[in-house]
Amino acid sequence: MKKQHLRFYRNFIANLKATIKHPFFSILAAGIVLIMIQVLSLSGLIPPSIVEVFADLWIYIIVGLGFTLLLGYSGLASLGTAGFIGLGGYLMGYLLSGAGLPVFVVFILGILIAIFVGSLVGFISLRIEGMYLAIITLGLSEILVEIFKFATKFTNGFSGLAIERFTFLGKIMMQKDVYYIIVIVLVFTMFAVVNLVNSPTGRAMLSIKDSSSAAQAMGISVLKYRLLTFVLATVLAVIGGMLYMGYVRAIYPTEWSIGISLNVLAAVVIGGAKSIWGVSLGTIIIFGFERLILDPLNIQWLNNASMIINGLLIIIIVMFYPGGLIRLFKDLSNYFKKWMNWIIKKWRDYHYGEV
Amino acid sequence: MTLQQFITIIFNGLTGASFLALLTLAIVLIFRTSYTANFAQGAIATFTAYAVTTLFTKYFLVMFPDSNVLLLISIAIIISVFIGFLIGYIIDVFIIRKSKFSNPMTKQMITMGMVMVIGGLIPLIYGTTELPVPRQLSNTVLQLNVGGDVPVYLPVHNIISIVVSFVIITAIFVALKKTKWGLGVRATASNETVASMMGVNTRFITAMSWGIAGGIGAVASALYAPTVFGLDINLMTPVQINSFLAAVLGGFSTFGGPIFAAILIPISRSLIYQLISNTWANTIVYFVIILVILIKPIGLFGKRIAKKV
Repeated sequence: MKKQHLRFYRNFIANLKATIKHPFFSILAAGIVLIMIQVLSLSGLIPPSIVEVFADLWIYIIVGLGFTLLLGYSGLASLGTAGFIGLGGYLMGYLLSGAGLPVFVVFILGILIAIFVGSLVGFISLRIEGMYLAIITLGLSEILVEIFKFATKFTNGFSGLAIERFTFLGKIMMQKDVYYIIVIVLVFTMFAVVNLVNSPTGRAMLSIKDSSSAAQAMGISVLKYRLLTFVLATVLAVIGGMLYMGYVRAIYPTEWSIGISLNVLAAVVIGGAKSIWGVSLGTIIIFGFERLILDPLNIQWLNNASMIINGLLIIIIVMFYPGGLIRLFKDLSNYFKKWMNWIIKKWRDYHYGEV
Repeated sequence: MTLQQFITIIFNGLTGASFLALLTLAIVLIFRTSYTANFAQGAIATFTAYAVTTLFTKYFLVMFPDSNVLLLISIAIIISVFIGFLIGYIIDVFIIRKSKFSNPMTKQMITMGMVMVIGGLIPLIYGTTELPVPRQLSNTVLQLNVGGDVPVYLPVHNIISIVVSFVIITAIFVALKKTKWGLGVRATASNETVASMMGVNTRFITAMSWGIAGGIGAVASALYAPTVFGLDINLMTPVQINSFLAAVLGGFSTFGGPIFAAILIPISRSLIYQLISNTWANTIVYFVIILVILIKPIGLFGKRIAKKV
């Protein structure tokens, strides 16, 4: 082989390695895998009920990514997530079927309303912190649920709101098409979150989390970044709600209780609040464990096991493993490397004699 | 507004306040001693409500069909109070005490995990069928003539719950002022490190507070359960959300403020319910609470705590 060719080959390998290590590559790969799930389901390899569970999971990952900006990067705990998801769902439902707007306009309007609500909560977060903020956002969520229940003109009250299939780009969206939209939104959200977190904005958020006074002294505007975080988290929750409504096409007010908010928080904590893969893993465990693993097994006494297991996981991880489950892979690979090195060293000692 | 209406409003408000104040007291007690908002309080109370119902309907009514119903249900409630005490004590000793990361947020997340564990344990222990609540008392109604054409009807159960919760809250407040445990709680609440240096057994005080909070929660759920249709896992969730709001509204840093707020909220709700709108009462109350907290973040009676940088 010529020397020139060899250099080209080495460069190619180095470039390939750099590309694979780039965070965007793994996100894109994950997106392709997720799309393949639906494609395989269309050919009959995966049952459609499983795909429905997956669509739900991807929606909650979008919401969780917004929440991790709050909890992992700005250190603000909010328990209003469920209310905001419901808000998105009802906005989609009413604006599509009640007001009869095209879906593109609905999406823009929904995001605008989310920005408004998010900045409202952001302003609240400037005055109260910690547990107080969690409780106040819980109250806001309760107000939203009351509105879902009793503003019957918009939300159809307890009997729930249902919509027809909507048209987008002149095509009627079947469930599989909405699934593709969900995956595309998820991939873009992951891109955006990774970029944001590695930007000066992300570092400013982290500094506010560690000490807001110190951050202020360094010239970081707490107002600006808290508002931004809450707006982003709310927008992602509302987008999640709109996608949920687009996929499931029916929504009930009693779904959006504190349980969903707690589950989103649990997902972020279990997986690891500072990594998009951690959030994804946590969401899959919290929201998917029961429906993907326990329900197909169909064992009587295991019915509520998922709740107990999730609860125990939260307690154990918060107490002993604060980095989240995603740290486990890193730690395991470190152990493995150490172990391998030890074995190689032993073998060398044996082969070449002790040095 | 007639006198009948007025009495009904106040009576309904006080009934709501009776269990709300109990649960708020439990939450504040735990918050003051271990600096965490206990999200599991409602779950523990639900667990004990199931215990009361199961003990009463499945065992006591079967074993002693001829004895006094009131006596049987009282025994069931007392046993469930002990169960609540044990659960609270165990949670503190085995989990909260061991969580050495003293960040309040992490402790709060542990209690959120407890909510899930207890919520999963309830159907496992008591079965999945929905249990009917024993309402032998709520069916008897007291008739009160206050002039005018229509008399006021007061359910006996509601009167009992008001009296019981008044007695318990008074007892706890007296205990906080007079007993050694109360002194320890107040010392731990003001500064845990200094209290332990002065010879207060803060571990015991905290564990006792968790236990007593569990017991109070058991009474609250026993009083609350007959006012709703049937038992389910989320029985105490609305009460708990309200008691959090009451605690924040009254100011977490005092004992009296949250209780005052817990009495104020149901009365104003029943006032709005009767006078303004019966669908939007909850929304208006929540909205006003949030506005008040925004104007005065430390709560109505809270003391400002200087933040150390």
